[in-house]
Amino acid sequence: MVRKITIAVTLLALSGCASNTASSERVAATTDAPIRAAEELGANKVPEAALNLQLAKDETEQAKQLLKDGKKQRSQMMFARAQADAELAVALARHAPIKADAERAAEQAKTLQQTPQ
Amino acid sequence: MNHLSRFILLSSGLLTALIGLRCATATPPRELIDARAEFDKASRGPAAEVNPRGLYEAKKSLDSANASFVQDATGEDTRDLSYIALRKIQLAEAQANTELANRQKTKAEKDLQAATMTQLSEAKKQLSASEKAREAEKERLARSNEDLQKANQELAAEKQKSEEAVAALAKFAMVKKEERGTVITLSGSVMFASGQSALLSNARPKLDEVAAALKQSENGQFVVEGHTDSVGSDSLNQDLSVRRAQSVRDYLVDRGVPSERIKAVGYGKNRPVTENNTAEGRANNRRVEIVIQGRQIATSN
Repeated sequence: MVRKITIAVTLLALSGCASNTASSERVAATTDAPIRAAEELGANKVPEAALNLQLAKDETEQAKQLLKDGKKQRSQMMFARAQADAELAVALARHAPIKADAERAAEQAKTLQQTPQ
Repeated sequence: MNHLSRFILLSSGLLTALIGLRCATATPPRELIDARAEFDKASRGPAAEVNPRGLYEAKKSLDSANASFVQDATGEDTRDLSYIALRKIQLAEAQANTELANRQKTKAEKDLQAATMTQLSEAKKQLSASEKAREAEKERLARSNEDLQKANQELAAEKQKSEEAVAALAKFAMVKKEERGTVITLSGSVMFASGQSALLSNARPKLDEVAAALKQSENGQFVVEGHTDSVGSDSLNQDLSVRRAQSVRDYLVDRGVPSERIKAVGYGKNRPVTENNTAEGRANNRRVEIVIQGRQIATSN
């Protein structure tokens, strides 16, 4: 009973990951777009985002090497890791300027509210 | 807490129990421990409310990693799936933080706008009050200027009347404008007997005209100066000049010139107008001068 539930959950979870049935090339392509997006958003200039961006690039290279070495399943997993890192880099790069804007607006509002009439 | 969040917590608890049953002795890899801890933290943080969809996707990844751990506790796939799950949890949190930052920014912009409007309104009120005050001051200055102009016109009219009256004295006196004022010079020999200070009867009609001219000047101050030639001692001449000036002053006051506006001084022989070595010169030095000290025309600032 426990084993049946475990397999069901695993299959369900795996359907949310990068699909094992997708070709390696298609999986590889899914990392290019978020890596490019992160770079365009200036992830290199945001420390937290820069780390994840670099990880995504390194993992992409490792995945391509694994593919060349014929280790298809391992390369798919590495591409999935790269995609996850790249997507996080995009989110962190988007967050940084919005947070800065929010803090600046809050400071301006506070200063103006405290200015004597 | 919404339905989605409740589902996430319930299913994670169920799976944890299953994992515990199946792998009671296996140690999860570092990546899985981190992912579980991060998910636990995220479930209690803003992501649960602000980004339940993102957290749900992350939960599915974590379930996948847990399932892999059940199958193969030490395998590379378990570590990779745990790593991916951790990233997806962090992604859900980052997206939630961005949403919160956007909301904060929107609120701050609204607050800023409201504060700006308030400041603007106050500034307008102050400006209006300031303009009203300036207008009132302008009116006050205009009135003050009008009063000043009127006073100056009156003074000018008075001055002209006085000057005309004084100029009319030229038929028997010398009238000259000097820095000290308008000077009416009366010959001593016409006014007094030699060595005397009592007025001769011939002098009175002339002094009557002088009095009439002085009374035209409503605000002037007058000085009657007695002068002698150099014949005789200093003390004698000084005393004579004072007495003669006083005689003329008293007569003029008697004729209506206000006493508080006229005074008498004697200079003896100390202020000659010409040389004393001729009879004519000495006659010219023997004189009474009446100085009319005029009021300055007022100006506005």
